[in-house]
Amino acid sequence: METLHTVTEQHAHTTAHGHDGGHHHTETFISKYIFSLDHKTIGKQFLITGMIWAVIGGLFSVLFRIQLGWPDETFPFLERMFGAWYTDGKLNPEAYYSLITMHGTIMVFFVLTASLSGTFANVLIPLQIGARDMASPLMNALSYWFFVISGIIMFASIFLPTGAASAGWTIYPPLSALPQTSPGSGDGMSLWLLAMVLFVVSTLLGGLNYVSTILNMRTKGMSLFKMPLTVWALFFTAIIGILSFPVLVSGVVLLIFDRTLGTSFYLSHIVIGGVPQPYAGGSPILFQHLFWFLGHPEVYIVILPAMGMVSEILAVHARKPIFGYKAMIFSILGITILGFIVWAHHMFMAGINPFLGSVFTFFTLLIAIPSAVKVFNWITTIWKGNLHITPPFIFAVGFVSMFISGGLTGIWLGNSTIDIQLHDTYFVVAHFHIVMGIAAFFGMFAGIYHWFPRMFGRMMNTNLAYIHFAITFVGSYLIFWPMHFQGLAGVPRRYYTNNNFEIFAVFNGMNKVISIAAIIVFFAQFLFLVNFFWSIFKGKKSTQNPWNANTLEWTSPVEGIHGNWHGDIPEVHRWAYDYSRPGNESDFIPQNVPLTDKEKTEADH
Amino acid sequence: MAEVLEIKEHHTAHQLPTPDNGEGGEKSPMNISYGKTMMWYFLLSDAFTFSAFLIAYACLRLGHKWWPNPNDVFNAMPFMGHHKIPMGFVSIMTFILIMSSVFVVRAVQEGHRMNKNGVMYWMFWGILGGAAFLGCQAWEWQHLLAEGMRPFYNVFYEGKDGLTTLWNIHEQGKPMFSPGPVAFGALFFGITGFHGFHVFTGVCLNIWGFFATANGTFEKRGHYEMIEKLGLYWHFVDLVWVFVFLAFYLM
Amino acid sequence: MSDHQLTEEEYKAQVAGVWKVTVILSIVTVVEVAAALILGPHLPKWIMNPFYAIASIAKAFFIIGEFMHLKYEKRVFMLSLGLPLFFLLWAIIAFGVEGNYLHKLLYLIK
Ligand code: HEM
Ligand SMILES: [Cu+2]
Repeated sequence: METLHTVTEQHAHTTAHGHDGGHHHTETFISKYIFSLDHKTIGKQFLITGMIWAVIGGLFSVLFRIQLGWPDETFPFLERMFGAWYTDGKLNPEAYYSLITMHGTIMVFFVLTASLSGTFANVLIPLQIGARDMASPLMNALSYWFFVISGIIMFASIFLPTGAASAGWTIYPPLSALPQTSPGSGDGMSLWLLAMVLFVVSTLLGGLNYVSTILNMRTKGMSLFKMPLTVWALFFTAIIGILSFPVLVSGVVLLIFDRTLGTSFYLSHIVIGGVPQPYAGGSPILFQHLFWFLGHPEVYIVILPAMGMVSEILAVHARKPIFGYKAMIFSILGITILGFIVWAHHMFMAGINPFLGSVFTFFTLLIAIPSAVKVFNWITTIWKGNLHITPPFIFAVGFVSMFISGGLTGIWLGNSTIDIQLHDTYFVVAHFHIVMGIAAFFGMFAGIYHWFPRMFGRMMNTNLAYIHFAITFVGSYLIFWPMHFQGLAGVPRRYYTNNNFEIFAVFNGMNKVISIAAIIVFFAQFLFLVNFFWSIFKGKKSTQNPWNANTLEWTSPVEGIHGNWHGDIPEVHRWAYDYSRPGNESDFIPQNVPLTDKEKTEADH
Repeated sequence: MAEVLEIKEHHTAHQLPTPDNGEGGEKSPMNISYGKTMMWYFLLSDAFTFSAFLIAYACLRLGHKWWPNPNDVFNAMPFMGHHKIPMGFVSIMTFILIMSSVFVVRAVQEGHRMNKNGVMYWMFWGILGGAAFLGCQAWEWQHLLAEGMRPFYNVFYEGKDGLTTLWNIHEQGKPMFSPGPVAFGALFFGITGFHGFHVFTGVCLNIWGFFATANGTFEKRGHYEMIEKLGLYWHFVDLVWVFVFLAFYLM
Repeated sequence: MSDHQLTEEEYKAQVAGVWKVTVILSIVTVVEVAAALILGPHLPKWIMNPFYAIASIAKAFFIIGEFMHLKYEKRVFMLSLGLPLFFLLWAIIAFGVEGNYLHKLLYLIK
């Protein structure tokens, strides 16, 4: 068949730009910056949208931290700013629950899933594998716009008179299934569910595109085992999303039926105001299973892109080949597989079959193996390296620190017996914020500082970046380290106030310290935002390859052209980690440099 | 999808690479075009959606002491009045869907031969099969609804000796609480409804494919890959039915 | 997409293959329904259900292999689609255990 004579829009770019001088699209502001089909622009759109969300999510955490730090004070100025959420200068309990729910939802899904993967998969996949764009630029743009629509709906829910959803980011029924149980379980919950379904559409459009781009669009010589680890990580992230998000959709659809049609998938033996309800035969635990079948893989969707970027950044800035390239890939694969079979470790205390709990404990503890492989490889990579202490590098090191601290507490929690004491306490909050929240943010910052020159053609200010790092790093530990002790003492999470428990009065001072640190860290992020936006317009112009890195994106023109390369796409001859190769005069050899004769003979042996 | 925006003018001047293969770069280890790769992995993803539903069904059903016997629930047939024909109607539905799938395979095969009329001919029958299936499903639903079944209310309860018995709401009146396990109706309407929604989407897509073929879109493009992708989706719908059939009518 | 023009024989063989699978699918379905009607009322569920499940999985193989043409694709591709299904297998086991446990819980409260 005549496949040779077929052209998709993909190659239309090639012809329009590479060869066909007389045929140019006229680009308006709107087609270039708003409804763009160019992967680099879509990546930037994901990034900036994510930043807006992160500020909103962070602001919410400041508000509820103020409540937790000073449960007896009043804050009239906050009431003036946030009106209905406050009465007599105090945060309303309902508003508190909405705020923690929205904080979790925004941070986990909108910032660390959509924006993190969306930004770096878009910017890096085509550039690093040597493609002109994604396999389907249109689907790519749709993925972004579904994310926007989902976000608008979620944002709108905050302004409902009954408030946003308030059942926690895990939306367990019956709170989420019965509108009469709390104000946020009404319209707020409905919009939450709608927004999440659209969010999944966005994730699928993106993920399918990333996978097929990586499989089908690699440049000549870019065999799978020559791909940078970033691409590998994004590849598996996309696969996890494709396989786990649909299960969330199923869970959510059944929940919607419970809410609207009166079915009882998740409900049984419900009595409201003394009146028995007709719901029978359902199980809230079923929802938890469906939710965590997504929920646990989800945490790896969040962390894997950060892991990939950190691997790349550590090698570049330590000027050393990554240690254990294949081990890194197979540990990602291992994490992907194990990530799908451990979900019920979130439910040890929910009333699952205790025997099943011990099987899940076993699988859960296995995850420590690939995680440890990665950690040791990172440390070995920078060991005795020629360290260039740049902003991306310190953030990458910060990532490793956070991942170790938080990963170790995961092993505690993974034991069902220890979890009896720790479940639903601040210990869990400490665990997942350090290992997922802060670590993924550090990975994201490292990625932004590292690839900013490729995205915007300019450099970010280094001194501001150092200050940003110092405050964020110290501040994050100050916030979350003490929470371990609170959790060990049994302080429950998601409580509006602990005033009623006299034994927890000892933590009053600690809570104030945590809240102050949280506020400082929140405001420190504006250093980053100022640096970011200032540098877009006023930053020092970047050279072609500011970090002397090997990967292909640094061969594409700094100004970022449609189609990524003038003329032919470079051909790849070697892996991405030829740093400080003995006998070579420069300390890096880009992937598109052909093998020397000596290397060829070596390769033959 | 990408192909829609195809541009034809350029390809005579330059030897352009195939769309499934970057710019003459590395081949996909799967050796499949990106469009079909996407469709397949989307279907894998959708398989997880359906599996989640069916696994939830298994979980709830195992949680119940007693469950209605499908032979006693699904035994009506249009135009047969009160004759009970267990499994009769659903067997017909299953057969219709299989045939519809076969017709679409034939359309795909004709596409390989660039036989426009062949594609249209078989696509037409495929669409008709899909529509007929939807019609049957509508009939079955309305029949159950008329018997008093609801997603939140189940009239099939455990009678003498555990036999499935119909609570006749018209004669016996409607009790406050559902006579039989509520989950039965909820799962049945929920899952067959979700499947029916897929069938409906598939029929719409196939109709679009039919007219695009008629307009010569694929002929101009030089290949009928789009029909192949529609076919994949359509067979998937058939595949899901195999398991819905298993879960609700056989087990 | 196949890259070469089909010969008339190949085409005929393919068409014949499809009709053959159609017949197989129909027969399996008829056998399933007949078993459900004739044997179903007499044999216990733990015999019948595995039988139905195996027959359905066989049907699935034919649909995927022949209609969806997967039989003729590369092995890695088949594996990339088939291996993830093991996650579902574990889900079936885990959810099944939970279902049995739910059985105890649901009837605990009268
Ligand atoms: C060695 C690896 C890890 C183990 C053994 C582990 C184990 C656990 C366990 C058992 C829980 C449930 C605690 C409870 O609710 O009582 C938990 C919670 C959590 N973990 Fe991990 N974890 C590990 C790594 C990670 C990583 C890498 C991430 C994210 C990137 C993560 C994110 C979370 C989150 C978000 C929660 C809490 C969710 C919630 O209840 O709101 N964990 N972890
Ligand atoms: Cu987990």
